[in-house]
Amino acid sequence: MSPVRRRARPALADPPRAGGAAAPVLELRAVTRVHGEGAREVRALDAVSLAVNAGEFIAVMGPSGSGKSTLLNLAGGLDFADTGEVLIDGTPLAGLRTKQLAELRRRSVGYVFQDFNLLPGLTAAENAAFPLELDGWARRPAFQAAKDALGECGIAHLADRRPEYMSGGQAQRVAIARALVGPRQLVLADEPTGALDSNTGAAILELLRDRADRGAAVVMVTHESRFAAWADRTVYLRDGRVSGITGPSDPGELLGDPDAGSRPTS
Amino acid sequence: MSRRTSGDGARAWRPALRLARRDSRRHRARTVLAATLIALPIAALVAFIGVTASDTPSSEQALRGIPEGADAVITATAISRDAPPFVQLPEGPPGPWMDDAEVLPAGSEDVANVLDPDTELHEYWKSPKLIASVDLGLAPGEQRSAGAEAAGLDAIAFDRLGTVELTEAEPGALSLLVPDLSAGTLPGDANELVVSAALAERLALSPGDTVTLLAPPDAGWRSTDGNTAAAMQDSEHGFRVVGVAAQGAGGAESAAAAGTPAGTPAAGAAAAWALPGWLSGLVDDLPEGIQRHWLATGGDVTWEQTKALNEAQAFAVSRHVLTNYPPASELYPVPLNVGAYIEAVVGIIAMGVVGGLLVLFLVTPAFAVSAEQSRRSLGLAAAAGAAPRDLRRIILSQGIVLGAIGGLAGLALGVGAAVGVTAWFERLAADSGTMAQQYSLASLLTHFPWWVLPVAWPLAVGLGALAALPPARTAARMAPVDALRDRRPAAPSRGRIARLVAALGGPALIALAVGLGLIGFTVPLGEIEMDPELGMRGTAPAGAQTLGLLVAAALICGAAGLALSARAIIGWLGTRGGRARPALRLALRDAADHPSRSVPATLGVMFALAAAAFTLVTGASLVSNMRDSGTTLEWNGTFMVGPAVGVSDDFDRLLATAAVDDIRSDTPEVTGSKPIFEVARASALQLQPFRPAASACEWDEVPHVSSATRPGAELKCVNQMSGAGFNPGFRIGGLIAQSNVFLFSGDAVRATGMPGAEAAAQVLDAGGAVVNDATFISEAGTVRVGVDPDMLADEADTDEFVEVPGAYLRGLGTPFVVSPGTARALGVDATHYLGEIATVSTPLSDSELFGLLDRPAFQSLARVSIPDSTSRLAPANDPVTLAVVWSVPALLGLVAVAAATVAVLLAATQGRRDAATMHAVGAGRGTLARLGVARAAVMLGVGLPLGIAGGIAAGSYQVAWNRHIEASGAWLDTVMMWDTQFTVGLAVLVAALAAALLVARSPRSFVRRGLD
Repeated sequence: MSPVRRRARPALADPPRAGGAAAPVLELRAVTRVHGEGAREVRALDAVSLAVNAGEFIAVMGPSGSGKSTLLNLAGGLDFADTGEVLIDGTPLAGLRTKQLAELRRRSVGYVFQDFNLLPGLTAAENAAFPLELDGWARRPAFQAAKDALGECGIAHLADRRPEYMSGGQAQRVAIARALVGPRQLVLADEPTGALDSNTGAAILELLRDRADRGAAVVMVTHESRFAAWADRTVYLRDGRVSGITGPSDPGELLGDPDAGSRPTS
Repeated sequence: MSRRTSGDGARAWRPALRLARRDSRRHRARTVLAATLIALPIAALVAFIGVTASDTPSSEQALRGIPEGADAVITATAISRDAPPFVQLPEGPPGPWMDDAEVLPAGSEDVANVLDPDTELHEYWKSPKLIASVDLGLAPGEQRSAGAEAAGLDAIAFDRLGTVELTEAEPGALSLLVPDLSAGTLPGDANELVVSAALAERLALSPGDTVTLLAPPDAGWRSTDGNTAAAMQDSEHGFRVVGVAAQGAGGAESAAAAGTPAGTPAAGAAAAWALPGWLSGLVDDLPEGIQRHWLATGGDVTWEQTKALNEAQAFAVSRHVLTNYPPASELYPVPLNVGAYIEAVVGIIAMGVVGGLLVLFLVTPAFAVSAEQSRRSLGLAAAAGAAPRDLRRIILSQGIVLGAIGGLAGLALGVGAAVGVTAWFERLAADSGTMAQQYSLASLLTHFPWWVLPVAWPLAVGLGALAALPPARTAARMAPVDALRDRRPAAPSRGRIARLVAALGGPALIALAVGLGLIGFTVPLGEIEMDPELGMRGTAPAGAQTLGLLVAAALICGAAGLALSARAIIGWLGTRGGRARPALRLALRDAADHPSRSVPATLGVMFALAAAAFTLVTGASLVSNMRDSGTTLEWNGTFMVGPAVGVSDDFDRLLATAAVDDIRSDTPEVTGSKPIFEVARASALQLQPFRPAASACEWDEVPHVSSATRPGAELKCVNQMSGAGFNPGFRIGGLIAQSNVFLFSGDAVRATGMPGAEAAAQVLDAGGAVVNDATFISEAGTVRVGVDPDMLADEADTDEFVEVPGAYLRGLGTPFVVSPGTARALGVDATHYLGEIATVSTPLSDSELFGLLDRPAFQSLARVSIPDSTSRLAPANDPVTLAVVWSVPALLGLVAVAAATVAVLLAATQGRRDAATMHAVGAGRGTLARLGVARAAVMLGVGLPLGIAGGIAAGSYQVAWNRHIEASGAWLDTVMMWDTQFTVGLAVLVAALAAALLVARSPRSFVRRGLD
């Protein structure tokens, strides 16, 4: 008889103390990714280096085609760098096999998409519990964790509802719950507010901010500098290169955006 | 104010077609799949019609049978002149006929009087199978009686003997009948002979050699050439070989292709040709009951003249008639068996409906997926002002375009397949040398039914439109808001009654079907009228129409009930999948959420398997019914060898034992043999079994199969022409047998290895009799044997009756058996040797037994009898029959696999985005593969058991119905073939899951397809 794999929900790691020497949760070292060949070659990322520590919220901005989504795909182990290294918790992704990568995405990385990407056949709780169930969690603890995550996102009452009967904001909260469920240390969000109104968007960012404040590393791609203001740092990409990195107080200096710097205080 | 013109309708289709075309390009894989699914059945249809309709017409085949240079082949039968005139087709006789041994056929003058004066008649004669040898010692022209012992044959090695069919012909006919010569010349006198290459090779003959032909004793059987064997018996004649015919050349090949109406043997057969002398002389001495044959030259034989010949009980196959085919009004009216015609029409319609439904079930999901994938586009179109009708047109346009494209591809594929299959058939026929050359590429090009192309193409377009219709209607009903948000339309809320109807409608219809089916059995059925001459039903029994309607209604209700049940179960499973593992839960919800894809696919699996299960039950029950209704040969892995041409007991026994020894030399399981005899025609006393008085049926009745095959069953008698009557016959002995009473020693019966053989052997050893009709055995366990000088004497005229111990044993190959000792004790004073039954240490397999039929050593001299097929589904052991019989359930199983696989492929295509999401949140390739397998498992889990159960139920009902009617047999047993049903189900399950695993393999990268 094979043993049933059960895992208790691990607690989030403590955020690193200031000046601590902990390894970054996510690190990109001179990463280059090229799409296409010959005349159709597009250098989506060109020697990009970036480190995201635990408890840090990074926003990635840039014009269309600057490589934002590619960066996120590489960070999530969905795509592979042509040169350079991507490391999560100090582990280089290039050395991992497909199965190990899937395990990493289940356990360490939460992904939030612009258009939610919930599985339409599953309820909110089932969507949120999906990574845990894939990871072999027993049904009861997996669903309890999912309901906790939904509760954190303020939608515990929607646990049994299916995505097609939710509003965009509700669906995105479910997607975030799915990204936050379990012992995730890294949350990657690809324009999570792109399909939402500003109030709902702000609420979603609050959730991500909260997660970062509780010790997770969060990387968010966004087009809007007012949302980037929620981040600790903003990385600017242009033509696949990092064109600048700025702190939370002065994002507008680089972009000249009058709305920048409107990060609400929490 | 809008202005409408006649062109508005066409213009309204333009944007729909444009959108359909773009969508088809965007989803190439789905487009190719849908077009292929339409193309394949169209290709099969075109190829089938192309091949079957392009076979060489019967008139062309008949023309090939007329030797080059002859205008007609004329045959005078020995049918009584008092009988109605011979009814023929322009191609020849419509079937076999019975010659009267006392009747003198029309002569040359009678025939010449009917024909034009310029027409010349050249007579020829055909012999039965003769023995040929170079060692019999007769000089050319020497002729003598062979004598009862066929003196001299015993001393000749078997490889110096052969069998041959001789044709003697007048000079004008001989030159036309003999194929091209590879050596020598045509005969110049009656003592010279041309032999076929096969005979020359067998006996190492070449021009200048001497050969003797020997006619065996007449066994008393009459084949198609009447009394010839009696006229020739025990005569032998010496010939000088002057020519060797080229193998398979010229006229012989043509004759073989046409069924040898001209009297020339098949290519590759041992044959010989001579001028009139020996054979014609013997026939002249005993002309009664022997057909006469002529070739007509020098003038056309018209249809009017042919009909005049028919008045004289003769018929003609005329080049003129076949090339100027008479109009239907001038042909003889053909009696139509209305029942058979209706059965055929109903069968074709049923096959068409089932086939069409299966194709629809396969194709519809592709368009359902198309409609769902186009939901957002449709919503945008609706928002831009498209009416529901326009939305419907968009999806319908896809169906029409794909139907058109798939149809064209199907036509091309079908024509190609027709060419390929015809070429294959042509090759098979050419290689076999005996198969009729019915199919040829030349004939295909000449007779290809081109009409099928303009008919099949619209059919493909209609098929595409029909498959797209349900999704198109769904698209038209979609709310624009839902469509724009790419959201499935909310299911209408149903009341409790509606939910109950949806859940229980299927089972209720199935119950109704069962009820209607049972009522069908209670409707009284009138008597079936028998036509005593034709032995067929004259009119349908009263009540048949009502019954037909009931049966049809029952089947339709059953099929609809199964379909509704499948849909309800799929919906129910979707709501109950919460506790399942993620992959299965997703698959269950996916099936329930996309019924337009999952339900047709499930129905495809279900109906294909139902048809397969039905075929197995009815096919196996039919074979069982056939075996029940007559004499069977159920020996267990052994065989019998007898002479092909009976010469004398001593010679035949030498030959048979030598043949067994030859087989033993490379078949160690064969340990020896036991002889089998019969009561000789020359015996002073003959034997015949009679039923006990209590078991006697009326003179025109026979025992019902149930009485004859179930010892101890109540006696039930039926009309002798009823399909349910027991009709015993002979499976061993062949044409050399002389009587109806076979003599087996106890050891010979034991050699059969059959269950019950030992008990039967003990009865034989104890002086008893073995019968294969249980009604011959009295309550005391005895058989009443009549002893009389006449063979087949009436009971009233029989001299003496003897009661002997009796045993019932089916499958011995003959109806009535006693031991040689018992026969002698009852007064039989002459026996005739039939052959040897082999004793085996281990039963030989079907294929080993079948292989014995092709052994070259004694091919022409000895005849091997092998037991019936042990297959429950195939009536014969040969590979072709087995392949044909098993191909039907196999093909239906493949359709089921295809239905499940296509649905999984479409689900994978449709669910690409969800797969990318799953991948992003940590699902590995294994999870995605499991999802594909689970999707197939859901459809198979519902469709497979329902289909097999439905098919078994329908098959059982069909068999019960046949048993009720008893028109085509008693149908005593319903053979379910549980093991085979299980195997087919398991094979389909495994194959479909494996196919699903293959098509559900996740792509290398989801990034660009799903996430960007």
